[in-house]
Amino acid sequence: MTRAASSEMQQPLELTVAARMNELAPVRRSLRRWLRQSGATEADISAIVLASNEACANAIEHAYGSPDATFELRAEHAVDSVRITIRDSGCWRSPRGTGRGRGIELMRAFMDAVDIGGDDSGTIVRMSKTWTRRHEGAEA
Amino acid sequence: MSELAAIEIEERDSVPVARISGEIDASNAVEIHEALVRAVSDQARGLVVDLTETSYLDSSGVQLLFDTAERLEGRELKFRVVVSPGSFIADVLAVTRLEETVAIDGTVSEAVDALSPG
Repeated sequence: MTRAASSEMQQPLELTVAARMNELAPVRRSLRRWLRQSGATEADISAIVLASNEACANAIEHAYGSPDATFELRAEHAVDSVRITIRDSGCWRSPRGTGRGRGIELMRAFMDAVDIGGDDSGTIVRMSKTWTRRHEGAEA
Repeated sequence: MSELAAIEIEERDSVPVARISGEIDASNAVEIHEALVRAVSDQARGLVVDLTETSYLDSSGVQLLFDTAERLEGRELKFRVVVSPGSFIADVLAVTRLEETVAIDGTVSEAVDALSPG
């Protein structure tokens, strides 16, 4: 079986995460492992992990003051791209200070599309990145 | 200090060089910022932060560098950051235009030389 066939069958990654900053590192590790299994290049993995981490940090800030809050991360394959969705149940807040503003700037710089939406029930960030699988690069 | 990152500080030609290994994110950036600011005496010429062994840095880490630059400037101390050219962290710093505020070098020797007199 080729890597392409196996990665097309790779299941989406679905995580429900406690809204605490010390959960960021375990989320990065899970996402990195999933992307590696799918054959993503290291450059794409770095970009997707960073952008996702920024969206997760925002979700954790939205939950500030709710000790039991969680958020959800989903990563899935489309035809030639990876889609990341991060959903929280907190209210959207404008980024606090320039630090979080930079987070959104980084998300936009390293992904092809970033959409931030939300309503009374929470905030949802949808991002996608067209990617190159390692074996395709090797054949080129 | 959380286990995500470690800071080692050594003097090179009387310049403190702080080498950060591991990952910098929103869980430890404030702690690291405070450790860096404490590491520099007012008698030092400045501080070099070496990120060549840093495996991950997000916007909190970028914010930590801007904050450290501001604090050291307030004490009239110089500040330089070392990052491997072409690395992903170099890309992150470029997106956030750190170089408009902080001098960035490719090696620790260049950074130390730039802070040494003569």
